[in-house]
Amino acid sequence: MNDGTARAIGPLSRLIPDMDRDRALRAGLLILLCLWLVVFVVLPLSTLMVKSVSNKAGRFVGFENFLHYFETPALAASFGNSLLVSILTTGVAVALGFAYAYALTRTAIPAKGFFFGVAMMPLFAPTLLNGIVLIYLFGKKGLVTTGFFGLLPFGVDIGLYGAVGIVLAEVLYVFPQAVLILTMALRTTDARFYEAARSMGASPGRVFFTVTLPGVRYGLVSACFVGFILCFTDFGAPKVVGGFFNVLATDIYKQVIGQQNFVMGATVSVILLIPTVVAFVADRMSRKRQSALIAARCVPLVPVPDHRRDRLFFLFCLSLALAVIGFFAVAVLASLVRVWPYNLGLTLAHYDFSRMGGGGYQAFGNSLKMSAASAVLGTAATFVAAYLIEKTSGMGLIRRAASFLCLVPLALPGLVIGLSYIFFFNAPSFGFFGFRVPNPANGLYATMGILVLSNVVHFFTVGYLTATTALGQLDREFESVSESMGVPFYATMFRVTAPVCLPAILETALYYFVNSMATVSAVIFLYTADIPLAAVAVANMDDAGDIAPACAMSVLIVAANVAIRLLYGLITAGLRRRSRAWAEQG
Amino acid sequence: MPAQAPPGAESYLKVENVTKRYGKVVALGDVSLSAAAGEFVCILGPSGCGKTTVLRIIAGLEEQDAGRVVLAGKDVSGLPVSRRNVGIVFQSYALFPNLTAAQNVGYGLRSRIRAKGALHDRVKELLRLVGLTGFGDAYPARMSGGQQQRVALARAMALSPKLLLLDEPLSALDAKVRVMLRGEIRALQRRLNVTTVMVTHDQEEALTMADRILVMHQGRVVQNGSPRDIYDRPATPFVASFIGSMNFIAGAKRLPDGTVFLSDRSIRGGDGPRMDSGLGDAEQVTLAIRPEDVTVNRSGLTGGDLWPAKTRFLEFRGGFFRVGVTLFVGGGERELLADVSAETVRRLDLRQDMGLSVGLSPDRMHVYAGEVEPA
Repeated sequence: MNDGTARAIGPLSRLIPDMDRDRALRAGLLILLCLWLVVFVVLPLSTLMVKSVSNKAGRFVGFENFLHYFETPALAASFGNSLLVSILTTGVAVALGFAYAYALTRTAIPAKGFFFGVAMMPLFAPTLLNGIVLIYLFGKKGLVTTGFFGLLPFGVDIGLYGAVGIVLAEVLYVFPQAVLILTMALRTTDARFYEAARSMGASPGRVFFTVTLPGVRYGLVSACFVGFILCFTDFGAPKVVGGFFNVLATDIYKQVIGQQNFVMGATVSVILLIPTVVAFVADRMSRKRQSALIAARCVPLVPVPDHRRDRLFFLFCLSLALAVIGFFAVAVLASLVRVWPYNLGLTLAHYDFSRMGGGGYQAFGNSLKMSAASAVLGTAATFVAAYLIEKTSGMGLIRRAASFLCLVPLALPGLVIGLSYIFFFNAPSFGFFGFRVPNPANGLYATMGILVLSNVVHFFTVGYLTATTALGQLDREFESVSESMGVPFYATMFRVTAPVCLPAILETALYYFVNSMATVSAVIFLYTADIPLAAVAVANMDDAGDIAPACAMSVLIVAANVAIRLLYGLITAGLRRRSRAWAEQG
Repeated sequence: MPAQAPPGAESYLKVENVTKRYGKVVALGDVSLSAAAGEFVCILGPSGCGKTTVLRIIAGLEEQDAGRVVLAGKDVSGLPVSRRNVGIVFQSYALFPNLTAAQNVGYGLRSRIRAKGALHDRVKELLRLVGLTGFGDAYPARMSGGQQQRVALARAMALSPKLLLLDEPLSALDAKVRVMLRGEIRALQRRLNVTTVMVTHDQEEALTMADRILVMHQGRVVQNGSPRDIYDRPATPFVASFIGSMNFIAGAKRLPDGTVFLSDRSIRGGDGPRMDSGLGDAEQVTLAIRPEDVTVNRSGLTGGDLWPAKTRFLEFRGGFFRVGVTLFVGGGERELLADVSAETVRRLDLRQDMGLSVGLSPDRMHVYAGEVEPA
């Protein structure tokens, strides 16, 4: 290139720094990523918002729908109900989760790996199952209510249906997440604080309140907000054990599926969305603070054995772990028992779904396919997105926009995603200031494609954040090195970056699969009779009163997830063996 | 100060009036430099002086706000790093952890050399060049820091670049390995005759390796010259104190005719003191002399360049002592450091709080304008 042309591209290169093919490709992909997120997140959400301020004829009515909502006592009560159960659940689950996480990180109890694994088990199940098992335990003919089928002289009726049932089911749902966040927070500490406190003669109680709690305060706050969001937006548990106790999530479902009132469905969705977004923003802020607390050089805290304390915490963990295991044991048992509680003979009859609605094994197969596709596509999408945002220099504005858009899905409840997808993809065309524009994405409606897409979007942010963390640990100059040798960035991504990040990639794939198997909220609006899904089948069979087959289907979902988890364990173990040759020591 | 390429040598690299801002912070203010073909140029400065930014702009990893980068007579300012034909060794080495030493070295060659045999031979040759024959199958995490550094060097040289850029290549190594690699890098650079720009904050590294040193301070080049030049004729008090140690003696006066007085004695000798070019017509000046240029003698001797003094402390440094000295100037006192050989210390039986005469040779003295803050 001679001087003339070099000077000619000068002004252009100032517009897009270091313009060349490699860079242009990255910029193009980043723009594509933003467009994709706009089409599949922003636009559907906007359609939903527009619907909530329009009447049934599509005319703008301002906040009339919201006024109507809050003026109808039957509807407005749900808002208070949702808040009530969410706050109760969060309080109980975070308290239990904190004690459990504390035992796993700060005491010298044995079998920590086992306890952690058991605590994570509820993640594999649809929340519908939590409700179903509660019915088998505390329902009218439940194990506890009937005094172990009359074995005991008395039974206890806790009045399951309603707030009590919802809170019990949701505590089980939120507990693993609380344990995850809080073990992380409790692990990142500096042993020197404790040494300093002890050397000054502080009592254990004082150390706990002056060092331990302040050190994890952001983790606690984060656990509370996450717990709140999970419970506030969950649909499965209240659907099964809510009874006449209405919450927002079930209201949306009833408005849309029961009464075909899409406008009110959209309105309730927005009402559901607002506290969720507030909690989401608060959570992000506290997480940022938490990571700022971690000093560069921490001396890890190694818990010292203390027999009295350890025995107490061991018993606590054991009883919680047994409760979780017992919970799943009841699920398996209930799916195998002929007629609970009258005929306790075992049978596989409930696993024969041929006479049931819901789709049976076809639904199960569809769920496996959908989850596998979501895992592959979702993992690829999140990793590439994180790579482009993390490992591109310059292009600050578009990178910031992309990273913001990547965080948005985490704030969106599944029901909101599902409903907004109906509005967006079902519309044959959109009106813009009098023009009609045909909807290019309309072809996706009622296909497997939209189911997979809704999952990819629904669980996008967690995968994206996992990949971002993994990429952040790599040398920033890898890209410069390959650039200087004229090796295109995608070659380095495939040959170096992705292999080094493989553990994070597999973790993301597992996360996608497990959640896609278990989710009902987004897909319940999107599946069609041709493409039934397992988790939706659970909801429908439960609706029809076929609780035992619903339970059996849930057990299949859990079994598939556990199988995938075991496969993941095998692969990562093999990976560790192989990468031992090059991984950093220690 | 003009760039001083060796006579007859064509400048291979020219950086002309480059400026760079990050927001409101000026990282580089009008930086120019050049390197002749085959020359080894060191950019030396404290951390945050902008030296790495200069390197990244030369490489094409960052873009300047103004100014040009010229390589072999071609303006490459708008070209990406891949089209500049440069080899880069990063401070962290940035070796790919999941690839062996040989795969790292051959990384950029794969797309250029299709024949497997030829690629293998070239990689083997490169590893031999840096003294790593037989280490081709080792992964970086299993190699010592020095070996990793050599792999990075071999990888940077793989595409036979015309310009080699080294960003603090030795800063992560142990002192002994560092000294050994200094020599090796220099020898390799001479053998391959590749124009080289190295960034470092280590003055010893710069003095021992470079043909020419650019000293940078606060985003500007403050001196450009041979290692001897920089050391013997530091252009500013900053350069004087950043490279080696320097005593500053405040309170000297300069008359309009150019003679310099400390107290009532004029500083005059064969060559006279080295006047700072930026002296202007300053009246208040500061004298400067390196500790190794300060001589000590038995007390009682005065006159000429000798000044009455007293020892404050002796610090054992192995081959020599660093001696703190209080100098009596007129009615006042100045504190100086002197490097005194162990032999002289024995001969004069130097001890703390002992009177002596200190010699400040005008030929070794520098004059800077105004008051100088001791660094």
